[in-house]
Amino acid sequence: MTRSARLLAAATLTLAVGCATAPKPVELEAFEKLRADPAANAAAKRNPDLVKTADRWLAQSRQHWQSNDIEQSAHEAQMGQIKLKQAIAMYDLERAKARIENADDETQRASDEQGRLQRELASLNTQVGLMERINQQSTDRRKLEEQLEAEKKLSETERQKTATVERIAEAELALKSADSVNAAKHAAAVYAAAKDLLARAQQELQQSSFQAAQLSADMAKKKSDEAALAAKPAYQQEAESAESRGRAEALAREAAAISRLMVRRDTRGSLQRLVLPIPAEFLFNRRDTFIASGRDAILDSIAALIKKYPSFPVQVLGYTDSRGRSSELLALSHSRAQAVHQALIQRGVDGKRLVFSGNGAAEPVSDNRTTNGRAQNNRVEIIFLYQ
Amino acid sequence: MIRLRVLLVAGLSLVASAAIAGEADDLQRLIDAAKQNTNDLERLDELRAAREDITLMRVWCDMAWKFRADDKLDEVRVVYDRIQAQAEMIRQRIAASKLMAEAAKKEAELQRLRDDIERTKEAIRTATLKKATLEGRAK
Repeated sequence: MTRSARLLAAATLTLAVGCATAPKPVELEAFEKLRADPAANAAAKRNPDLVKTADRWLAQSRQHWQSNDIEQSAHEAQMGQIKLKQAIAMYDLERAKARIENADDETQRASDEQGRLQRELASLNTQVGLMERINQQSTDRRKLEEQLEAEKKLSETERQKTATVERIAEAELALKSADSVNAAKHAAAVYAAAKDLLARAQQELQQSSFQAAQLSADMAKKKSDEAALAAKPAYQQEAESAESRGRAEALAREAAAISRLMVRRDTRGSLQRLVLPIPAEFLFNRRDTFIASGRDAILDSIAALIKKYPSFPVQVLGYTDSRGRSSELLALSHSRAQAVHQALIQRGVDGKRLVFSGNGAAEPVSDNRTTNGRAQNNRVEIIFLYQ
Repeated sequence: MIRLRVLLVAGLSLVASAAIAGEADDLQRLIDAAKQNTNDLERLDELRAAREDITLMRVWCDMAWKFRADDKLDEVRVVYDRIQAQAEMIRQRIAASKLMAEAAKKEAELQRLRDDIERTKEAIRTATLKKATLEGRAK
C-alpha cells in the first residue's frame, strides 16, 4: 500500500468515526417508551398543552442526540418525561375525581335502593312473622282441639268403662244373691243363663265393647234376679227344714240327756215327732190324777227344754194300760195329761204351744199282760212336733 | 493613565467576583431547599406511588450540589430547573395516587353495598316465597 493510500484510508476512517451517531441515551429511550404508552395518548386528550411541551422536548432531545450532544439530549429527554408524567398524573387525577364522583353518585343511589329494599324486606319479614304466628296459633289450636277431643274421647271411654264395670258389678252382686238362695240348684236354667251372660259381659269388657257388655251385664242381672226370685221359696223351705232338723237334733240330744227318759223319734204323716214318754209312776200314785208331791222334778227339766226350743209345738198325751173300762181309762189318761199340762204352764211354758189329750189304752208300747209292760204303757208322753 | 486602567480593570474584576459569589450562594440555598422539598415529598408519598421519581430527584439534588461545588453554576441552574419540574410532577402524582386510592376505596364500598343489595334482594325473594307458602298453607 502506498503512503497516499494509507493516508486516504486514515482520513476516511476519521471522517466516518467523526460523523457516526452516538448511542441513544437511556433517558431518551425511556421517554420514547413512555410516550408510546396508551396512558400518554389519553393524557394528550386531556392536557394537550403539557403533552405538546413534552413532545417538543422529545424532538429537541432526538435532534441533540442526532447531533451527538448526548448530555443535552438526556437533559431534554428527562424534561420531556417530567412533563409527560405530569400530564399523565393530571389525567389520572381527573380520572380519579370522576371515579370518586361516579362512585359517590352510585353509592347514593345504591344506598337509596338498599334502604328501599331493606324497608321492603322488613315489611315482608313482619308479614311473614305475623303469618307464622297466626299459623303457629292455628296449629296450636288444632293440636289443642285434637288433644281435647282425645281427652274427651278418653273420658267418654273411661266413663263407659266405669259404667260397664259398675253394671257388671251389679250383675255379679245379683248373681251372688242368687247364689245365696242356691239358685244353681233351685233355678238351674235361669241361673246358668245369668252366669253365661255375666261371663259374656266380662269378655266384652275386655274387648272394650262397652255397650254390648252393659247390655249383657243388665241381662245377667235380670236373669240373676229372676233366678234368685225363683229359687227363694224352695231355698227358704229347704233352709227352714234344715234348720228345723238341726234344732230337732239338738232337742233330741238334750232330751236324751234328761235322766230316766227313753226318748224316741217317729213319723206321723208329714210330721216328725220327738217323744219323751214319762212313766206314770214317776209322777202319780196308783190311779191318782194329780202329781204326787216331790215327783215333779222331771217336769222342771222338760219345761226348761220346751222353753229353750220355742218353735216346736208340743203335745201332752196321756196313756194307760189296758186294765179297766175304756171310758175310765180315757178319763184317767186325760186327767193325767191335763195335770202335766198344767204343771208345765206353772213352770213358765207358753200355754198356746201346748195341747193335751188322753188316749186311754191306745197305742201301747209294751205288753199289757206283764207288770213291766203295763208300767210302760201307763204313761204321759211329751211330744215335740216338727217337719 | 495606565495605572488608572489597571485600577479600573481590577475594580471591575472585584465587582464581578462578588456578583458570582452571591449567585453561587443563592443556588446553594435553592439546592438545600430542593433537598428539603425532596424529604417533604417522600413523607407526603404515603402510597409510595412516586418513589422512583423521588429517588431520581434526590440524585439530581446531589448532582446539583456537586456542580455547585465545582462552581459549574450554569449546570447547576439546568439541573435545578429539572428538579423544580420533577417536584411539581411528583406532587401531581402523589395527589393523583391519593385520589385514585380514595376512588378505589369508594368503589370497593360501592361494591360492598351492591353485594348487600343482592343479598337483600335474595332475602326478599326468600321471604316472598315463604309468604306465598304460608298463604297457601293458611288456605
